[in-house]
Amino acid sequence: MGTFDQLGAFGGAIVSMLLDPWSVAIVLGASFLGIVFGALPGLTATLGVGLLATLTYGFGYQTALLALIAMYVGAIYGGSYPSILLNIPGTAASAASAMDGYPMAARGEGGRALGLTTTASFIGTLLGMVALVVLSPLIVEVALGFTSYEFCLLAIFGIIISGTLQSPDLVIKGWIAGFIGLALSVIGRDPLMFYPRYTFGLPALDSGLEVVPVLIGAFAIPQIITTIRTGAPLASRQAMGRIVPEIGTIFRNLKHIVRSAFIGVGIGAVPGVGEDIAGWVSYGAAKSTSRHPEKFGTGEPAGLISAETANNACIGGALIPLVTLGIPGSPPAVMLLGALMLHGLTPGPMLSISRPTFLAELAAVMVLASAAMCINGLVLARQVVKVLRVPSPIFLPIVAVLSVLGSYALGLNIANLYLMLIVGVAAYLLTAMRYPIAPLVIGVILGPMADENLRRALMVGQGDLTGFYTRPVSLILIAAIALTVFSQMPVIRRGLARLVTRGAAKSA
Amino acid sequence: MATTNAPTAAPEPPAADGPEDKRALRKADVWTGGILAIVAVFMIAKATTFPLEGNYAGVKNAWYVSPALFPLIVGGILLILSIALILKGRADYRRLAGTDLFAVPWGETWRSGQDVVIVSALLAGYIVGLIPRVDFVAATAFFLVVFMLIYIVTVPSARRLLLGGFLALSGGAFLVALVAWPAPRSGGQNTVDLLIWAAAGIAAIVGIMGSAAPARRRAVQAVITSLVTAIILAAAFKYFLLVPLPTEGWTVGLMDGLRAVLLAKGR
Amino acid sequence: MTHNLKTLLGPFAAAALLAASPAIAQDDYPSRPITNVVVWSAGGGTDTVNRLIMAEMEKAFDGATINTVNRTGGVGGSNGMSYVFGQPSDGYTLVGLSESVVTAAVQGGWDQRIDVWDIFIVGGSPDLISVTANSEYETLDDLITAAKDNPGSIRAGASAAGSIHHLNLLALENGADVEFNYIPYDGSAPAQNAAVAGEVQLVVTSLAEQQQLIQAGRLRPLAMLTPDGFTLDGIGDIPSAFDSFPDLAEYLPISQAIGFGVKADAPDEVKAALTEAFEVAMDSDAIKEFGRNNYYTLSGATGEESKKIFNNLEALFAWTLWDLDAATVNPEDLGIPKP
Repeated sequence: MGTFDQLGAFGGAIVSMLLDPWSVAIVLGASFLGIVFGALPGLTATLGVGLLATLTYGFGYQTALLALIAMYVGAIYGGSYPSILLNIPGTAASAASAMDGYPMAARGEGGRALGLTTTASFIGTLLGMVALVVLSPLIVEVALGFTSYEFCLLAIFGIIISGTLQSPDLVIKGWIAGFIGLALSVIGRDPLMFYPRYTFGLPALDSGLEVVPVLIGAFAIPQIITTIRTGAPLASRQAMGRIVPEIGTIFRNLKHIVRSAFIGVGIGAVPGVGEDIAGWVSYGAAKSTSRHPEKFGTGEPAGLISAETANNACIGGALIPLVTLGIPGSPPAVMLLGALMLHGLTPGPMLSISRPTFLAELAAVMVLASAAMCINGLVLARQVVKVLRVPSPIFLPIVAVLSVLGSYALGLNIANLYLMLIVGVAAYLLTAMRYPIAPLVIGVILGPMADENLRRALMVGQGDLTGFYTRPVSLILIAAIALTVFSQMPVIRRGLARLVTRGAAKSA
Repeated sequence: MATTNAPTAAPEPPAADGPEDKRALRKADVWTGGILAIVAVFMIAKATTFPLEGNYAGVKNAWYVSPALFPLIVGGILLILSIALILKGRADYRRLAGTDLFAVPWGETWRSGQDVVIVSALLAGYIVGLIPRVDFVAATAFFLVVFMLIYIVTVPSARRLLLGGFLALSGGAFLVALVAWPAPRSGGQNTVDLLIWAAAGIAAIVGIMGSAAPARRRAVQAVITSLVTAIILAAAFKYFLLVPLPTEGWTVGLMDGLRAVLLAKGR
Repeated sequence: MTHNLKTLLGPFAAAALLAASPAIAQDDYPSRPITNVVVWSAGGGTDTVNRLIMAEMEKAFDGATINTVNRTGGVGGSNGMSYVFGQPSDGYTLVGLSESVVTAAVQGGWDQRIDVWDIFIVGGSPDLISVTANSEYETLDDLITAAKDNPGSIRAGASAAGSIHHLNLLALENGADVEFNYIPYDGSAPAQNAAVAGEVQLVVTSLAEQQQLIQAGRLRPLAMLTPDGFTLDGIGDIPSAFDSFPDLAEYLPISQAIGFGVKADAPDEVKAALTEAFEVAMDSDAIKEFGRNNYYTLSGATGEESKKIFNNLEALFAWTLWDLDAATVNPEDLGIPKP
């Protein structure tokens, strides 16, 4: 199958879907539903794809694929709405977007933040698609080279990044919040030996703490408590005219976009790691390479763009091992695999033989899905900003009920509600004492990964640590960790800056 | 926006940053540092009881494979960090001329912290008391009506009545369930659901009566919004998102029946 | 006016009647939506199989609605099972499960035996042992010989301790009298990926999970852990491990069993209706094609037959875990007989 045939199939698929009003309706509808899913706290892309898997059972596989991908893209993007407008991330994937998105909304630039998010997500999805089509064979080799050593280092890298996030008070408080998160993450059956740790004999704790209720508790409850008092709307004045994306800002942040897309695709392609940490890693990378990192966390568009580009680029990345080897790269991709199997389609090497045009069709579907997301986003942004005008005594109790339903929806487990409540009250106390809360959530997400892979790496090496620095990918990760750590130290940062300017002067 | 109490990660530094608040913050740091240190010590102590060697569950164990390894690392670092926090907090506190590290200004703490207590008590009543055993629509309508009105009513006694009534009923449900609770879809369950609906109705009346003229319109708005939101959210989650509700009693049964009849008519 | 009011209130009155009548006569089961509670998370094998069989059973029930939801948490799926067990025994709440739930009781998740369910088994995929594609081991004999020369030196990947694949690995060790260095993973997929990357030298998972990696030439299949070999399109014959090591018959096969259950004390009419719909669904093209495409062995066992299968699985899992020191409750206290 030549490149031209593939291009033909790609173009043909796009045209035929655009000419079919039913397909257009489905892609717009599924994308809208995805945005709603992402925006409601606790309802994740995984859950959304699962719901559509059942609802599309009677459709043909192409229509189903269109609906599923549109849902996936929409849900990853939709999570940014509550992050930006309320500082309550709808999904873990968009938690990093709150860091700079919410300060923007708070100073009346909610519309602008949403516009930038829409553009960044659109570009991210498309770059992910390009990577899927063009770079698949290369990326899958690197991703499959990930062993316990690399997974462990990746987790440590994420944890280090959490320490670099802005701490409103003492720097040490960021680290403490992160380690509280890591401490919480060890509760439950240990992943290697199944030994119950800190479960106190309670079956509810056996499977460990779920991320979604922790996330909702940590962000939503403190926000409800601190703002219920005022009685006033959350933010009444918003510059409404700026929802249209600004080409200038996007162009100025091109390097952030390209780097974030690479990070997103890479993290998506590594099996088992997904959108949840792509945004964070990309945000951290943007901050530590930026010339003015102190602006991050105060409403810096570059931070928002980096996080949003990466989590949407992750989609294409997650599909790479799925399409080539049948290995899903992220949790929603696991669900997507199950959904495709319901339609009698098993992604993997056999697929390229039995349906040679599948990759081209998938690429076409992704283009349409991101276009639908963009259209929905631009129409919706103007409307959702108005939510901020609802008086808080009426609005926040509804947010509380949504938080409860969201914590419940994923596992239908009442214990998750108790968890949300306890984490929420504790998180409020911590924020009142000026601890940053994001590192705690990152700790809960990455703790099990660090724990399991550190011990397994040692198990494979029989206690020997050489594997950590003799493998190519792990060396790169160690270099990234070292760079992040050093770039946080003021002395070294200044020295580096001087070196760069001097070098530039010399070469000029 | 300027009226908002310090939202999390607020862009502008929260207004409260005088030496007085700094002192209070450092005092709190010493205290939390102490609590965290105790937690870390407990974590380490407990980890030493985990299997450290020998085979477990068919896995060859060694120090580096033990389930205790990671908790020991995390607990150890947490201990160091919390001791550092205590030392830093104490030094700053002395520098800021703070005197008694252990005196607690109760009155002030209550004034600044009562919203935490109210909101967490309401959530606890809803989550622990009502959700596991009362019809979801009834429980949610009751919770929303009380939560919204507490921050709208202008008469202090109405506010206390709303909060007290809600906590008494949800706490009561929790306590009764410790002894016995009617089976799902039984007459007893229906009675409880009706009781909660009645309580929600009374709360609505109390709230509207307890609001002075300018707030009264908002109170009426709140009552209508609570009822509509409870029904819409329940229907959306159950029929559209296919998420079964935690407890499905009389009201959800009514909604099921209504939907079945409407679907049959549509056909 | 009165007429208008009546039309308006009609649906409400009917609905109120429906809601008030506690249990509708059983002979028209199902008369309202059935909920199937899968105890494992969405997207996994148990979830996919359950969604498929439920979609087909909906057709067999002539358009009745069956909602599949996931209620995860606890140990061995205990959270979902406890929930369904607490619901009325009217057949409107089913539980979607797999063989692994038999460990819930000995691990302290709940205090019931597996026979509180009447289980309908859809099937499962057979386990096999594979090695990294560029491995020096061409056959099972090569591998076993190498393992005997140097006990405990070969790293073997499988999902977590006490999982079905771990039990298959243990059975292989016992039957062939060898010792591997077992490296546990959080699920089959990461174990297989580790084998592809060479972190472990061999992996034991099911054919359904491995087939894509075998087809892509990333894993080399050595032997099926079932009495019969298997012919995989485009790859060729995979011999049975029993051919070279007949002693394995004493320990194997340990087969996956994915399906769903209804409370054992549900009315007989309900069970009969479910059985009928289940049999129609098992006979459908969608299920057969799914089985063929994904290398599932379809079972269709119900009633006493499935009860026997699950009782055996329970005894095997419970006592193996107890012997490995990985159970918190003594199977004897639960009344589980030794296998």
